[in-house]
Amino acid sequence: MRILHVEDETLFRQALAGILRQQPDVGDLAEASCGREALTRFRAFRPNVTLVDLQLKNDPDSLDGEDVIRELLSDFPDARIIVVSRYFGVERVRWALDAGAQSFVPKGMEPRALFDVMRSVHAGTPLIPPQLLTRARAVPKEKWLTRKQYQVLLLLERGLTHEEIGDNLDPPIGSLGVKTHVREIYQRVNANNPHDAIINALEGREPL
Amino acid sequence: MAFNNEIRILIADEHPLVRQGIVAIISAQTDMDVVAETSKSDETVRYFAHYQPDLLLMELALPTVGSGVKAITAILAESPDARIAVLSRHEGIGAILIALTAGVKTYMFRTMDTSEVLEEIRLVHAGTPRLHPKVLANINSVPREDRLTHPECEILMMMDEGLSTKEIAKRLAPYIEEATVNMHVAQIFNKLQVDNYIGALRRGINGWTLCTTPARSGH
Repeated sequence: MRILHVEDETLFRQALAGILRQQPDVGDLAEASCGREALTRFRAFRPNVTLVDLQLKNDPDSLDGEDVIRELLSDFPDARIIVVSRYFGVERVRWALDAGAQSFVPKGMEPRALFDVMRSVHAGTPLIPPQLLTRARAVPKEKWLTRKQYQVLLLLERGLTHEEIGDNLDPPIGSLGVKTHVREIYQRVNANNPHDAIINALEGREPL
Repeated sequence: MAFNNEIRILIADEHPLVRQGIVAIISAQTDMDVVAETSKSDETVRYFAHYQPDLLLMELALPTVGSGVKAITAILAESPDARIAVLSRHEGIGAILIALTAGVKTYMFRTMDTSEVLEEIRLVHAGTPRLHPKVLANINSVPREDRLTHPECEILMMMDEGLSTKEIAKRLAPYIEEATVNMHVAQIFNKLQVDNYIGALRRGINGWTLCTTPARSGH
């Protein structure tokens, strides 16, 4: 396996690198600590499995984990990406997979289980932690967020006001339009305030 | 085997891989020695008392939420000269200020280079800690008059614990009423330029920044 690990927490990255290098089926390992670096490294290194931390920050171009995944898959549609994330609410998992990621693992996952996922992705039959799937399947189709609503929720999570959210959408909309989206989001995720909406759809901090 | 001039370090971090990484790196240093490691805040306090390390390197965000600060306070109450260095995934001004106010010698981000972490450990041990420019930048990201006050930081940390304003008021009672907590919360929102709780936590504690560029195409 040629692995690219995109992770901005240095010690986590180094620790995982140390363990990965001990695995017999790990060939070469490349690392990137920010989104811009991830794109250039991918191009040069051509890994066959890529781990991307969804909570990536520290990027000069403000590329977060979701941006990196999207850009990689847009330039390299065959890229095999595993999302690593501290938060694994149903919508977050669903949209990562929808965007083309092969699997989604919580950041606290035991290395052994992580290797199983990596090997399965490399073999072309990606494993997804069963608890994540069970939770996702519990949501009826009509309750899923649309792409736009998911975007709005992500911006809400960043702490943006309705006006700022509207400015950050493509095409931009006014705060009234955002409020309408937000009301619909609450209805779908069983919330009546942004805190609960984010907890219900994005956080997923309960132990797996 | 520990020699007299090695820095004896206790490590506390809840994430197994991060802890493993820290232990490996520190063990590889000729002037450092790992005396013990733990993932729990109560053990941190106990181990500190038992091992009396030269330095405690700890994650502020130990489970359960709020227990990191409690551990720091407990250790410093017993050992006022304790040298505590925080190494945290929280980069927000609220987390930084509350740790520094609690009495830690320095605050570092998990995203810092390993060499920078090691250098800072040595500086703390020498008695001359130095906050990294990235940490200072986050503290200074708000003008001084807009910086979160200590009560505001405390309330923010309690919000991170999931407490409602009612519960926060109860915990801070009889010094503070619920109406006052609401006022503080409004001020926190104002200073962090957010209008919801999660946003306040992401910015104030985690250190997430505003995305100022319009959504990129592809969605």
